Amino acid sequence: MEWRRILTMCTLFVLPLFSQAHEYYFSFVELSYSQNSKQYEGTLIAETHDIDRWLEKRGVMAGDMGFRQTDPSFLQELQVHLFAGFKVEQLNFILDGFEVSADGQTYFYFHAKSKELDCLKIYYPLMMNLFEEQQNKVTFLQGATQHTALFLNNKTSAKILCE
Amino acid sequence: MKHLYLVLLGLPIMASAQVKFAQLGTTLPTANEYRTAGGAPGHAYYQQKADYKIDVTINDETQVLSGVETITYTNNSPDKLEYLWLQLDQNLYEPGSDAQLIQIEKMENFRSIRDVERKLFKYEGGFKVEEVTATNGAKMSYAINKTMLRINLDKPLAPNASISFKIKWWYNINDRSKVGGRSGMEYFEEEDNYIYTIAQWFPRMCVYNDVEGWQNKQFLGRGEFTLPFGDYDVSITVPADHVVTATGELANANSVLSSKQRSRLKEADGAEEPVMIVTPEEALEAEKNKVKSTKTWTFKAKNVRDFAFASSRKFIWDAQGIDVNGNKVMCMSVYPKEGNPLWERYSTKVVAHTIRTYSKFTIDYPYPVAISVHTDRIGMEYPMICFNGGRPEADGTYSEQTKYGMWGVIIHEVGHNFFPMIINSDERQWTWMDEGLNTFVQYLTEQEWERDYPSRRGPAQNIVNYMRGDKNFISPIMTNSESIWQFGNNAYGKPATALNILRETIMGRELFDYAFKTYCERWAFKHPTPADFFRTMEDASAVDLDWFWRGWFYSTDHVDISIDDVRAFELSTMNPEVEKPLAKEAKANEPVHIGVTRNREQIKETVNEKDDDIDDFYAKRDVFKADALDIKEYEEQISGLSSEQKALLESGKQFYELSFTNKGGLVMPIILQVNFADGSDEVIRIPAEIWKRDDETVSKVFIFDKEAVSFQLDPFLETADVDVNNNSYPQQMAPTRYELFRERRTRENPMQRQKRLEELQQQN
Repeated sequence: MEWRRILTMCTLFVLPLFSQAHEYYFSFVELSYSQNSKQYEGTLIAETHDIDRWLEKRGVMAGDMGFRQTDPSFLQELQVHLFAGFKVEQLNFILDGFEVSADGQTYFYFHAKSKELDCLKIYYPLMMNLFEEQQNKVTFLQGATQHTALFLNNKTSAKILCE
Repeated sequence: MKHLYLVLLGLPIMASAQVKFAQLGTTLPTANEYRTAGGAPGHAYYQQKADYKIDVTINDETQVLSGVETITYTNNSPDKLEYLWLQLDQNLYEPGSDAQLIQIEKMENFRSIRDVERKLFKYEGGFKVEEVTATNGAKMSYAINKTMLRINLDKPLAPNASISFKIKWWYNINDRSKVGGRSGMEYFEEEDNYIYTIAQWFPRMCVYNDVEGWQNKQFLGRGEFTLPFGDYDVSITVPADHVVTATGELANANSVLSSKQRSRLKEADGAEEPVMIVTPEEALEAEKNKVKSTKTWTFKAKNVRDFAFASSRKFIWDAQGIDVNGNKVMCMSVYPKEGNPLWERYSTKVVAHTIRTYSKFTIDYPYPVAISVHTDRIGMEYPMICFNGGRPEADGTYSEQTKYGMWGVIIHEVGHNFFPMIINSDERQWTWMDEGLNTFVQYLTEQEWERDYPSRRGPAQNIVNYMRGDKNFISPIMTNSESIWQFGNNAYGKPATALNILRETIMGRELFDYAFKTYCERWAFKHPTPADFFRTMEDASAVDLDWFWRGWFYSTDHVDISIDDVRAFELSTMNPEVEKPLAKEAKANEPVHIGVTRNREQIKETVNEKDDDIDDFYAKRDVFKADALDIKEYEEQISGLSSEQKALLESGKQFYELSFTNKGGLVMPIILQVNFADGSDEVIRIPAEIWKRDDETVSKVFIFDKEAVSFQLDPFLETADVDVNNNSYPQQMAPTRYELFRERRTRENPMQRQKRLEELQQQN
């Protein structure tokens, strides 16, 4: 047990104690390795409603996200927050852009230059500190084979392909 | 021995397939006099009635709600009731409530000073019940167990008897921005004004019925409400400059509305467009000039299961009366200026469209009003009234997603008038029965609002990310509301998708729509259970759906059917003059080993090429040439066939044996598109029962008149197949989302593009 660790805090925004009706709490990553580009390429899909609240919680005022898709400073800020919540060991993800869909989902596109790894050690607690019921899922596409891993508040890490 | 081995090997497969197609008989409750085996209310079906007369006051200075109610409870059951149970939903906010205690927390949740503030924030929520008395003023004995209140009766309430009693209470209204909630208040700091959206605000009777007895399962925040029907007479006292809207019809318009407002309301009845009852200018004026006096608004509602209201001096109010098969419905919206320009343009029109469309697919809307109240972000439903998000930016601009989000939430919440406000399922037990069915009809309604509306839930392919993979943290739909993993996907998305698949793929629109409407008509103003729904859908359609309920509602299996192999054959004509040249051509087209090719070049002459005496009969005969004997034997064979058989032989039919594997476990129809060499195609639909003997692998032979070049499973994305990469033969890999993004990537946002377009148009 660690005693008296100092809590580092910053000033952020107030959010409700109780969850509201009709929320989503689900995000999903589709990841693959491109032999042509020698890089990992992925898409993270989350509910825009949840992302708005999560960014607000982290002190990022997204405003109208749909209008900020090509704002480099916003992309950089997003990249920091997004990949604090979705990591793969040895990979440094770069956020290439995002799209806000009219059906209420936001798609984040990213890549990481790397050789192909034998084992994907994934850490994916994105939004779990805000939404108790958040569930995240990764599907790694390896040719025609799909490998899926699931992440929960008490299960934030998983391995894919590892022996 | 070999035969025995095969039989033993086959047993587990048979058992698995038989489980998937087993009838639900023993899983569903036994039919009885209250609920029939066909899914209808039985001849002895009963339900209780709870009538309310309530006086309630909101103190705008202290944000306290206080009330006194007289409940008249009628026992229509055949049972004697020793006590009565009521719901105290506000006790969810009582300090130390179970709902707070059971929240999972980690130190990561306290990363900001505001997180700590929030945790330490004290909100003295919960009902303060001051007294429970008989109508003659005598105190009644009662006990409170968290979110439930039991009134102990001096003598049991007999069947067909009624009892009236009074409860007096108050509570601090919750600030939704601080403690959240389905109802509460929103504070507008700049002008020091509130919008009150009030629900779960009075002690409400629990349901007593043949299924649960008293449904007094504690309110933990997720599983919503289970309520009996009754009549309401509610008087609401608020600041005199407030506009109040509520469940039911306004009974004292002469006292609370100006003559101008009453005249505008008349004008709205049957108007082509919504009519302003309180204009933005009038609302703005009220915001600035607060009054201290109060007014009492009285609303009456018949045969409703609950009552909610909203009150604010900020409200703009518009209305449009519509006719639903003879029932006049006043569709209305109230919203602050912060909701515009979206709300004045769309809200009431969306309400009207929702009422009309749901009436078509379920039952005619029976109530006199349908109201949409603006809130920030939330969506929550009550009889005749709902609270909906969809707020533009402060400068009045809004994104496409905000617009669709607002439309979607209004359709959804107004749609809840049908599920569960009228088709009154037990929300505390089964979230999907109202949210899932409602989300399904929401999808139908969205598609009738705008062609190709980007519905979030309903289309099969939208659920696949949730359904695939690890099943440890996915619940079957048939799970109690409080125990569901992934509430939104499980109770909203998956059932809505399942019903959409039933309608489009399994049953067809005509059979589905009839059965679904039958369910709605049977259970309108009653309390249906899942079994009543499952049974009615089969009873009214003659489609055995037990396998479908098992797979989609009782299991966590997903859909992943693959094409494993295709073997092609062509019907032989038997005619050696046709077949032998074809065989020769096929032989010539066979791949040749590299050594053979090189030998042809490097070996100048073989022995038999030099020496004529080497090649004998076998070497010299031409096996691909039809000789007289071949032709004679063919003619003898053919002479024994009928003319139809001869025609068939010469037809050139193409045979394809396809093998399929059910990788996901969820049995579904096989929908196959065959693409032919001539550019045409054909879609073949094989019912799910093809898996009834072996639910893992099946094969099927297809016979065509022409050559097929490729096969595609689920070509219209209608089965929620999670892996489309194994759906085609020859295999075609679908591009990843990232690859699609890279192809269409642009550095422009939509407004920048529009600007460029306008510049181009100016130049031209």
